[in-house]
Amino acid sequence: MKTKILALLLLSATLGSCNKFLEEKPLAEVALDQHYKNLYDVQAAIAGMYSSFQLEMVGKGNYQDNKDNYLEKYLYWGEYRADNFDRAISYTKDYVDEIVLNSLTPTNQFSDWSGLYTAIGRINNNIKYIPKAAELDSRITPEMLKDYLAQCHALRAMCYFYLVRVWGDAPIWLEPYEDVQQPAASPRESKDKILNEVIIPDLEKAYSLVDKDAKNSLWTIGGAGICAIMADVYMWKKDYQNATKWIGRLFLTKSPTGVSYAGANETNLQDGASWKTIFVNPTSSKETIWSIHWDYLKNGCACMQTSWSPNNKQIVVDEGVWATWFQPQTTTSPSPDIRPQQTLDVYFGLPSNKRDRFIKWYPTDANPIKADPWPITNQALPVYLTMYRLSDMYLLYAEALNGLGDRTNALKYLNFVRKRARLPQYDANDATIATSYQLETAILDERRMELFGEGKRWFDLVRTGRVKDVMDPILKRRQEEAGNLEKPGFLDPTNRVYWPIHRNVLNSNKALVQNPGYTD
Amino acid sequence: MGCFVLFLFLAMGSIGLPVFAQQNIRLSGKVTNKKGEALQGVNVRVKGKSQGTSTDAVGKYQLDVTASSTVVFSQVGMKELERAVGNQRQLDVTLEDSDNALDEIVVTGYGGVAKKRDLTGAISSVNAKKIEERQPINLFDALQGQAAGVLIVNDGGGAPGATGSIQVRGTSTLNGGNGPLYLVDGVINPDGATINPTDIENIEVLKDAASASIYGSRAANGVILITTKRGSEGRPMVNVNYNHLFGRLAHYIPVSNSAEVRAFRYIQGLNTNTDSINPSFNSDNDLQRLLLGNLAQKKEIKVSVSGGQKNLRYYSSLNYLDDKSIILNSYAKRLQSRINVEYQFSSKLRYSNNISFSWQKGNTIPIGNTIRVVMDRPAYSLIYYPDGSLTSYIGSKRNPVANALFEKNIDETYSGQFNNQLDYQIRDDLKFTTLFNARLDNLQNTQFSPRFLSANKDQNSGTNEFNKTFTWEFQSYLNYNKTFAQDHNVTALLGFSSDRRRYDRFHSEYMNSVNEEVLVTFPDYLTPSKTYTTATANASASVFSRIGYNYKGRYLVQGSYRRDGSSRFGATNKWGNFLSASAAWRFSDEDFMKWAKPALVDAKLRYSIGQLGNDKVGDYESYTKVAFGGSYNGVGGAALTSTFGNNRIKWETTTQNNVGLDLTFLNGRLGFTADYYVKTTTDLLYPRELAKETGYAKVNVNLGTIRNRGMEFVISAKPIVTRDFSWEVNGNISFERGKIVKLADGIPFFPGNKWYAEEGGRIGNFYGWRNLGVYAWDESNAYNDNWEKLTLVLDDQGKPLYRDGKVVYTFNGNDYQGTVHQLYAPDGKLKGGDAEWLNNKKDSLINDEDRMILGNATPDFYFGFMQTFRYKRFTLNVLFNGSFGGEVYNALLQRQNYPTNTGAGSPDMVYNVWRKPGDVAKYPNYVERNNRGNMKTNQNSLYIEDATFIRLSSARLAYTFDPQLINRLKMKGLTAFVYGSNLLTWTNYRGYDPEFSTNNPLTPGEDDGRYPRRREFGFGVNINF
Repeated sequence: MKTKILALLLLSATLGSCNKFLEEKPLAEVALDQHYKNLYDVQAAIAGMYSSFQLEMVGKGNYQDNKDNYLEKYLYWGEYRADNFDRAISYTKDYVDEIVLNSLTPTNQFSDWSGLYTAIGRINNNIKYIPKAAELDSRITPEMLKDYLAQCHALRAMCYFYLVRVWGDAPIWLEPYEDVQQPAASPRESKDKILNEVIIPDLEKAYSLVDKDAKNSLWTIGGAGICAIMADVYMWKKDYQNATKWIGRLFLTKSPTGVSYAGANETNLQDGASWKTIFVNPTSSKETIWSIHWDYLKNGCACMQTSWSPNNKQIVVDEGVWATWFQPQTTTSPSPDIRPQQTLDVYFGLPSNKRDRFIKWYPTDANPIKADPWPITNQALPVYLTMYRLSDMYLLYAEALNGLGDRTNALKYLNFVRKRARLPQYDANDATIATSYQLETAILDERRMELFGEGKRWFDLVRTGRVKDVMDPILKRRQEEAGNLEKPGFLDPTNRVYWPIHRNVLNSNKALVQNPGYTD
Repeated sequence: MGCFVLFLFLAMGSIGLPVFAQQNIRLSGKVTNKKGEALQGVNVRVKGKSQGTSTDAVGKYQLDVTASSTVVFSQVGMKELERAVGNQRQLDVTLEDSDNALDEIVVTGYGGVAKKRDLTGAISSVNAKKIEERQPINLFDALQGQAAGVLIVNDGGGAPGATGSIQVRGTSTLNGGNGPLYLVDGVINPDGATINPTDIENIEVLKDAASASIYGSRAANGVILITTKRGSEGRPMVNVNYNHLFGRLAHYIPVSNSAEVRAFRYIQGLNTNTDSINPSFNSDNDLQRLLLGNLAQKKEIKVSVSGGQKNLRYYSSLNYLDDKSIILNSYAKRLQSRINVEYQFSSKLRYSNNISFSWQKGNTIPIGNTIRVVMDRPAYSLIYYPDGSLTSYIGSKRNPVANALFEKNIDETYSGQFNNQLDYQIRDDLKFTTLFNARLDNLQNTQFSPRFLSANKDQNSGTNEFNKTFTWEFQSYLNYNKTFAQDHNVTALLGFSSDRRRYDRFHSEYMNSVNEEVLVTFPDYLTPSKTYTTATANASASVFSRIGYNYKGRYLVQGSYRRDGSSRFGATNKWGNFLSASAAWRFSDEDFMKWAKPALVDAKLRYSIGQLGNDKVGDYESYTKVAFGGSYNGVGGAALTSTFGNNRIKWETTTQNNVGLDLTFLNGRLGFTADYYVKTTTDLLYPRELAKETGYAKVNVNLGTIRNRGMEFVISAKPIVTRDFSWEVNGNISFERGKIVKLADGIPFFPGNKWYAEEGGRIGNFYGWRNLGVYAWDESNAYNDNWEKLTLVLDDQGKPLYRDGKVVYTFNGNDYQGTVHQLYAPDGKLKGGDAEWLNNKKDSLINDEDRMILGNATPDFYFGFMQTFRYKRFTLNVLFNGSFGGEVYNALLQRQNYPTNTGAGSPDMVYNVWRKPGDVAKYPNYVERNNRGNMKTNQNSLYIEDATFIRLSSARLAYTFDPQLINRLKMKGLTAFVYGSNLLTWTNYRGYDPEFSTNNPLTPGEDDGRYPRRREFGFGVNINF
């Protein structure tokens, strides 16, 4: 027995040192406290931050594995609920039916805001730790630090701007979550509070940090990007005064090609003959402000419904806009508009064009034949989504000026865009734009065509309060096609312009309250 | 290094102990049975010591003993015999057959053994004899239906080389690690799949906590101890076994023929003209027969050699399996070998090795590209051109025959394991054991899809993957066993163990390589975004002890304590303590039970309580980690992972109470065992949903409770035992009820698209909408104020009856005059041809709030029932097994019903779909399937089916030739047999088979197309030399 007692004593004495044997460090990742030590860590952290936003916008494309296809929230949030797109009935899934029929439920996968908060979490971490890394590594100069922080604040503002536009109220997180004992459930704050106390201060902070004389970086948010987001935010608030002020500031910055955006006339826009440059080679365009980078070799196939994919698509161009804008291009007297043929392959598969060959992002010229001109390597081409570009700003400027009662200048900026598109310009005395409302309608129509597939249309309709007007006839048509006994149109527009909050999100945070109009 | 200091202490401490000098006597003798035949392999040892020997081929043995010692002779199936040595030098004995399973030796872990009679816990034991009677291909075959409380799902009848899953006493954890802990000859084995069942001497399933707790950590889901065969002294014994099986698809399911596909096109509203000229669209193929209807052939040869000389014993085996299954081009080849060698340096010191090696290579058939395509490609599409060459995509559906033939997905696994063990008998009552085991598993996967299979026959792609797992394990322990004053027996164990496992993966992918014969990755065709390597590792260390006391075999108590450390937890929570206690009372030995003695030979009551640990979370979940990935603008990204690190996570603990009763009647001819248990898992370790606004999705926590209760009954009887004929029956039945008692903050979660885990619910609950059929008329959508359905009255034309412009309804047979309410989907009012759903919330809208629990995949009870008949030299063994009350989500049928436009559809859809107003149908109007939530994909009760089944899972008829006849052929034994497996299944399930295993215990019971099971018949011979 003595040996046993001795053994037990020794046992307890030696167990302590076993702890070292039991220490295992991650082999494929690093602990957070091992990161943010030098310039390389910071560069990677900035890339990681943009990457999370990029994945929200483009989706995690992978054409070999169908389940990762077609997740482009850029369009689910920004466009698929509007009049530009409809479902392809043979291939549609429940969540798409819900979107195009305005019958969203909290189980719809695109009602999940987690991805935006993932990006916000990364940004919060960067804002906290990048200055500490700068203290450790002198290669991070004060100018670089300021620029990194400007990008962080601007991207955070953009994420919150999406939250406000898609769901309205949302919880505010401006610090990283770092302790499991810290309460994780926080309630939604009002959308006005987010706009006024988060988004605008973040953008002002970013603007104060950024080098306003630098050439626009395009893939990351620079001075022009900050001004563009700010203008968009003030437009959302219908604060036209501030919107014009920030567009004015944007005109003073420099485009990726090094020239000033100027904002003086249509020649400051990309030339009509090389309109595609904006999308396929945005770094050499004087019009681009902020585009999302996508590298096929690193990021895989973009695989959006508006990009190349070998699989059947659930979403196609709506038959209404097909009939009025795209289909006439195949007739003997097409309109002079340079855009529709460069947006959609209008010839392919005629007479039953499937309305799913979206070619805006690709360097192909308009396809003049019915046969499939697409090389198989199209999947290996990049897709650079434009977040903001100058013609978008021109049209916002026109909308703001119209809102301020400056009809002449509003018309001027609208006509710059039309002139570039080779369309006849509006005459100031044109009866169809006689009222301020009519002029706004004309501006919105121009935005619809110019920015088709760029994630803007739905937000335009919500911003200008036209959801019910525009969507009612379209919903009625779709309801009829769906065989519904009743055709009520777009129901409950006040509440349903917002998305529901996803069931999993609600479950994981008891402090959240569902949006009215949706089941809790 | 502290850990190893401990080992050194244990080793040196043992050597320093006094060694008693003893006067040795060389005892020899012969062991025979009642017929006078020599018995080989009888265990001969000195009582109270573990040292010993065994008899050789002619029944002879030699053993060094002292005059005062007692020698024990034992062999499975024989009554144990004890003889005092005294001054004898020669001791010949005769052993009698034993009918009493209670004398069987059961392994209890870390060198501990006990007679079944003396167990205090719940242990199921299966020995070599029972295993042999089934001709199993793998461990799951060998165990199925044989042990109560052990749910074995055997996939072995389907894919070549497939295995199965084992679950001991229900799902007790949420973190995915739900399989039992396998120990082969005392060392951890990743799973049971690589063990050759004919190498197995014994399998013990430690079910209750008191038995398993000696393996504390990782034992929460039960422990399976496998002891492999040893050699015995004497001439080499050679055993050769050959068998050959033929198999066919056991059950065909309905698939559409060409006419049905055309009818389906009409239902789809795609009534395009039949192209009667194009031969591509005018075949009528039965793809199911073409692809799955092939003859399977399974050939297996097993050779083992065992024997020994003085001080050296060996057992070695080689097993080769060649399995070509029913699907075209699906095969597996397997080679397994094992060498067990024991070298006795002196009467005190023994060195032994277990070395095993296995190789397996097989072509895995990707279910998505074959089985599902069988259901999806229309029967009228051509498979072969007239010249015999294969077609490719037709109507955007791939040719599954071409895929099966040309697509490669080859898994090749090498596993090697080498165990070194040293046993040192310090004193008669004290033994020291130390062992070191190293193991390397290597899986290589090669995938390739040639150009021919791509839509335009112009693209190929491939994957090369290499997985390496290296594990080492060290154990060192002291076993003490002493009997005082005849009646008091004390056993004790004290030990230490540590182990580490590291896993590495190398993965590369390529596209459009030039040559399709060469399947390696060249830099020119590399897909960089999918090429990577990764690694993970974990370590654990433990001290353990066990002490037992046994008075006359009448009162038995045992306790154990184990302290486990795991690298998976943060610095302050690495260690967990696990205690257990058990007691048994053999009340049949009490005086007051004497009256029952003639009938009730043995009766024992057992109780045990114990704790077990579980650390099966990711290896590094205590860290908040930064992962590298997500490239942006040419810069590689680094960002926090979606799971928040929690350095407070600690061991999950399962506490189990077990009451058991063992009864043996009529001299062992009737045995009965009953167990009742309550198994409660607390501090549930699982990734709970974290408020998404933190930027994280999940965090691992220790919160929540799961409780399982169950009852198990085992009966074994020998109703008839005569000279020429005997009949033996073994049956077991297990009842299980599991419940999630508590979750972190009560937050429910969806483990997958059709399951729901909530407090008060069961694991594996299907969630969704309850289907009530299809509205025949637009007017059928009518309810009273209480949302009870009104009955539509039809006129003499069979159309809805209108009176004064209003539809006439009745409720409970009476005219209904009240307000008529109607149900809506979010996108519109439900109408004729729309699916009707249970309005659970009782409002006018059918939406996600109307979802409910629709069923559960876990069976309520399951059973195994084995009978063995012997007539002269014939033996017939028949095994039934079954499962009741579980449900399956038939996702394959759902997929069949709703294919893409060019898919085949299902006969069920063709014959049961709503086509026009008034139809009483099962499926809603096809063209409007996407509207008003008519499909409810993955959450539709229409696809939940009863998985109850009873199966005649195997039968074997063997003939053992007369030894005298055989001796002339220089053989010692010859048995020839015919047998079959998966012979008959009684079930209402409409898919291929209701029994299949699931990787994730939280998402059981989804049948989304599996390799279907075959029915097999075969023959074999077993020869001993």
